Amino acid sequence: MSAYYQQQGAHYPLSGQAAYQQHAGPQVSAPPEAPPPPPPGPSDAGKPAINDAPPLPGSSSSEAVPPLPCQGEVPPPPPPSHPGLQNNSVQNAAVSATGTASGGGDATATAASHDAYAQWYARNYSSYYSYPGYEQQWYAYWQQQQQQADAYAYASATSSQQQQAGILNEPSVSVLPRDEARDKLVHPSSTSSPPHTYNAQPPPSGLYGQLPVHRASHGRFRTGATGPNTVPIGSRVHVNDATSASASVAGVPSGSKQHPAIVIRPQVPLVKRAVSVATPSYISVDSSSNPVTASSTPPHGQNPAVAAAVAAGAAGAMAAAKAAQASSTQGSSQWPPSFTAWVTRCFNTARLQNIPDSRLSQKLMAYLEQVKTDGKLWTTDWDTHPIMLPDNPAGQQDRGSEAVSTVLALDVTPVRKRSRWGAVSEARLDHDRRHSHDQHPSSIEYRKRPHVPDSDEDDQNGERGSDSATPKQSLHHVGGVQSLSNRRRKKLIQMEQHQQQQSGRRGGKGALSLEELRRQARAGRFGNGRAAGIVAGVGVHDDDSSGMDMSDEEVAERRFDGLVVGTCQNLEKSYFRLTSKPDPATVRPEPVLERALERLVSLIAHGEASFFYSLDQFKGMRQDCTVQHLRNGLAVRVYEAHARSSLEYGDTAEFNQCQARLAHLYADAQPGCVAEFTAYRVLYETVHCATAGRRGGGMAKSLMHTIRNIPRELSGSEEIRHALQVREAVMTYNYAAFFRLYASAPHLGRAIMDVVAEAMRFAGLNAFVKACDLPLPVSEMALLLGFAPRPSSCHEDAKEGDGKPLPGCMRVHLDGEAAAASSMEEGVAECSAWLRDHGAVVIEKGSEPVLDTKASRGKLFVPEVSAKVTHGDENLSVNDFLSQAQRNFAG
Amino acid sequence: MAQLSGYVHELASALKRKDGQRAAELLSTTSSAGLIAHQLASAGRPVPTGQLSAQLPEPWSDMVTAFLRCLVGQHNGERAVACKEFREGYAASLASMLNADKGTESEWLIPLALGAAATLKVLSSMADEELARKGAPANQLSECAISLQNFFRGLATSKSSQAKKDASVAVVCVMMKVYFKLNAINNCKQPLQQIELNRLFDNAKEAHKVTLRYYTGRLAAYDEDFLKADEHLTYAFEHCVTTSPNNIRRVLRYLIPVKMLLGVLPSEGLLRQYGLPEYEPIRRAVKEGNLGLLLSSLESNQVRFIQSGTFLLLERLQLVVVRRLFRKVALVHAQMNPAKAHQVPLALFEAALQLQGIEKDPLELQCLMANLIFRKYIKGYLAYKSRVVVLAKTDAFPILSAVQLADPLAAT
Repeated sequence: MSAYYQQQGAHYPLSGQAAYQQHAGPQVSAPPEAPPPPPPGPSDAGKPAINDAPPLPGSSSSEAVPPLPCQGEVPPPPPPSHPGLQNNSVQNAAVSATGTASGGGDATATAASHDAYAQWYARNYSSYYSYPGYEQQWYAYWQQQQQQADAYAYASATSSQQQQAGILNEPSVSVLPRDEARDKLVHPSSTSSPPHTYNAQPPPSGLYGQLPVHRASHGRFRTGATGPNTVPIGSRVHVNDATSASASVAGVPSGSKQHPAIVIRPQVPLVKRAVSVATPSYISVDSSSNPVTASSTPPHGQNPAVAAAVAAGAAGAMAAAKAAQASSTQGSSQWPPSFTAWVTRCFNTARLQNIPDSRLSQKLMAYLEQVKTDGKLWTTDWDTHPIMLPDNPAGQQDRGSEAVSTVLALDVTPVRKRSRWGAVSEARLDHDRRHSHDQHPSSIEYRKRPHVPDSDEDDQNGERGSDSATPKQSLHHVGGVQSLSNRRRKKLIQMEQHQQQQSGRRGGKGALSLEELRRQARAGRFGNGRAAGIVAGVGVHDDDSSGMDMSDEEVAERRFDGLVVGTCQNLEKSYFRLTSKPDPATVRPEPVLERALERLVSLIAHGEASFFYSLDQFKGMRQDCTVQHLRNGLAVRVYEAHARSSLEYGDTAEFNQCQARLAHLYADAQPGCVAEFTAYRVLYETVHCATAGRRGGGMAKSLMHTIRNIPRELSGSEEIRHALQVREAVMTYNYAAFFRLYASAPHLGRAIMDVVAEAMRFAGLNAFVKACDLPLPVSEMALLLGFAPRPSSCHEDAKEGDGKPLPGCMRVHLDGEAAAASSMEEGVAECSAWLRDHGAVVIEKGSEPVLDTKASRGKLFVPEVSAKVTHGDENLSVNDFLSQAQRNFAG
Repeated sequence: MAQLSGYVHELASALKRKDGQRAAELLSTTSSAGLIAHQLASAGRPVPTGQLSAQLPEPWSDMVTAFLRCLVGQHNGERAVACKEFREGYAASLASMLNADKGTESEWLIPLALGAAATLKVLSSMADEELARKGAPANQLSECAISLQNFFRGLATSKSSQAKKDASVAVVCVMMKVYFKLNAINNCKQPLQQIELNRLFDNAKEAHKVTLRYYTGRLAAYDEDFLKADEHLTYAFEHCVTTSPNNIRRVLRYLIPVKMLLGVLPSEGLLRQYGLPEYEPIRRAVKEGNLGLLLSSLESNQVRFIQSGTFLLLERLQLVVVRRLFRKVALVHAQMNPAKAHQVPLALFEAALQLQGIEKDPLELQCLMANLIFRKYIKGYLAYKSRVVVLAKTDAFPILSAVQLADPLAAT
């Protein structure tokens, strides 16, 4: 708590300090150098001590200095880079914190249990961990601390200063079990707790411009006062001491001296490590409502205080005190955990934009009142609730704040590890990611949407999460990358790729967590997207004029190990499958891609581009989209155009690729011809379901899944209605309807229906041959099986011929392979030929050919498909080629 | 932590005695371990690994640690963590212990394995729900399927232990559930075949038999083998314990469409008793030959039917309904025109359809009739030009079970 108020003081020296004094009550009055509590005893268990010392001015140096060891007699804490160790300490700290928390009521018992626990810990734990040596060492250290508590506590004030000087550039782990966050905030509101020893001295202001707060708390003495929830921008906090399981630590970008920015968030149950990289780094710790070590039923009714705690941690002093008050007066669980997390997010965002907390807290309190009166506190989905900021936030436009906020967006290379609290969960990270994702419109979603199979196993949960989540997500993605400036977007891409490469190198889980952390960090810190800042990604070297020029490139090269920035200006680019990371010089940036697409589309429309040329070009464009992670309208247009082009040509493999990709893009609510392509999807799955025959169970299920998930607003569209009718016709063997629908298919539907048209014709022939005893006029069959145009369907073509072909298409109207002939006579002739090909007996009866059904029975067969030239160009046919070569050879 | 030490002590002795039943009880989520996990979680303490490793033999200490962590994670609402912990820390070790010994020695592990398999499935589906809610890829269930395969291998490939082989049936039941949930129907066949090969079915518990029959029946329905589906689902329906009406309802959800395809209608009472109101209009449509009603109820319940995977089955009822309607038309025609009783004009049928609000163009109508004859719903032939269906003199409407329901073309 005290640390928190210090932060407040640091940030807003006047108001914060005032608030602190006002609300923290008597505890504040403890002198800065107040003696820490004596060694552990019954009376001390609940007495937290914070040995905070303001950093020395000299510590603003951004040079990386290895952490200094603590005072002489104390064994040096384990190096922070040791994953396992910090963990242990964290746990212990948490344990002691818990003990303290409960100690408010029953201090003696808790203290006793503490000692017992310590002994037990010593007895058992050393054998469990893979670093037994350390474990013992650490325990010894811990014991020592107890014995020398007095001396150490005194010393720690100074030692922490030294430490602080030493740790500035060390990105490191932040761990703050939820309990601590809770405990520390419980105390202010619980009058029964022993007086805290606070370092009430306000930190010197103007140290970095903004103040660091450091809290070096050791062993159990720090319990109950776990220090900063959030360190405001500008401070560099490091918990060097492994025994202090405390707040998050963030790295400071070494490049930006004026604005070393750190955000330390409260209640970070994750153990994250930021491994120092040469590049500026940060660690962003998301606040979340899902603690690893939360106790859901804390003793002494602390639950209400949890929320208050978080609120307090995030909010200004006013809000915090009020919340704490409120929570102590009204029983437990007054706040949903997700609400507190939301509040925290709001404040973090606000800080990044230099919005005074007081203004935000005013607004939030008002909002909270409103929500409570509306009774929506528990029904609102706070996890996805948009962040609230005061109107017209002051000073957020200035460059400083931008830099501050953008500093966050750099490398972090944490290594996920297991802690004794259980594995650091995937779910947690996901959870974090979701938070950041939901609240920040500027984030881009690179994740594929999970495919939740249509399960017919249990009917109870009709709506799957993913389904219902779609529209929600869409809201957040509409802004997307487009809202960023072009240059920033490029930077974003740079980072993206850098991270990708890094994660690629690391591989495995580390990579995953890296990726996730990075996303979370990048997406999570810009609040409403206005800060939009990767600009400071290259630190002080970055300057606005250096958009794409060499210096910037060099910087990028040096810092990011050669990142891809699309710089290629060619409108024409062949596809070349990448075997290494893309060369920026060959990647086209978005505006160029846009023009290239336009050019290609018009070339195709004018018939000046062959399919192979356009295939090559499209693949090149798709590659550019992929390597630059474009997931926006442009990418959609590229894929749509390519999908149409492939369909028109009949290249279903390419079409399927585009289709799959488009499904993801549409799921992200990127604008496009959703109805058209959803209809294609239904058609595609229908025809494959039909051709799969008895093994079509899986396909049928995915078709059903697709149908079920057709957005309601699209289900009335012409394309989709048509596709659904086709499905029904195919599934109910309604040949006549199928070919009627074939004739009236919108757009390129015929291209897909072609796949099954032949099979439908043959099935229809079989049915009629079996069903009819009397000879059947071929003209009727021609109508039935779509060889001849139906008199009624003449108007269909006219409707579509309204000029321009769709982007990617060569023609306005695609006839389809199984299209009806232009006239009845031709249709009949075609049909007779087809019937004969399939073994049917066609005889001339009078003037017209009739199908002799009786004679045809048992004779029907599907002729071998004459070797189709897959690439479609007859000149390239292998047979032709060989015969030509032969001829040439002979000649 | 008195409970913990008591628990560990009891567990240790159960393991020492090789009392699988007791150990499985202790290592189930409903045991006192839940309370311990609750305490640990509330106190924010870690699972005391040291204590566990001191009192439990080698692989078990880690396994129990993982198990307790899982419970703690579960208690903290972190389902995915809990599931992973359980799968990787506990279930995997158990499966490898089973796989290590092919003989009868590890027979005592059977109750543990079965418990683990069932628990794993529950944990995984909960974890997937959580992950899906967060927008993360929900892959826990597919991971679970892999673990289950390990269990199955450990049990079914045993050379000498019949008990293990018999127990594998229980694992297969869980696997079926998982595969169906995962939409991986093709994976179902292999374990089922193995059960059939080893003749394990007869020794299986009744509950497992019902489960297996239920899934086999559904598989058969997907494969359009309706007679087989009918057989299995009927068995499941008849042998399912009456105390679990939900299970009976599940069976009925597939059994009713299959039966209707074969010409057996459910009684209204049955539908009411098991709460299947969505089948009521369909039953009526089939009974009355009301194609319009069938189509409209398919339309209005589309989502529900797709959800439960019966949509395509029910859509197949169209021909059954049309046959019924046509039979009515034929009877009416026979009364109107006894001389030409067997020559039913299509115009009459078209009028009947129009009464139900269905407009079919002449080609489609012909198509429909051709299908009815082709698929042996009706005996007779279609005189295309004169638009008359000439019915067979005898048995023009054969019983539905003789109908060739599967697509004759696909079957060949």
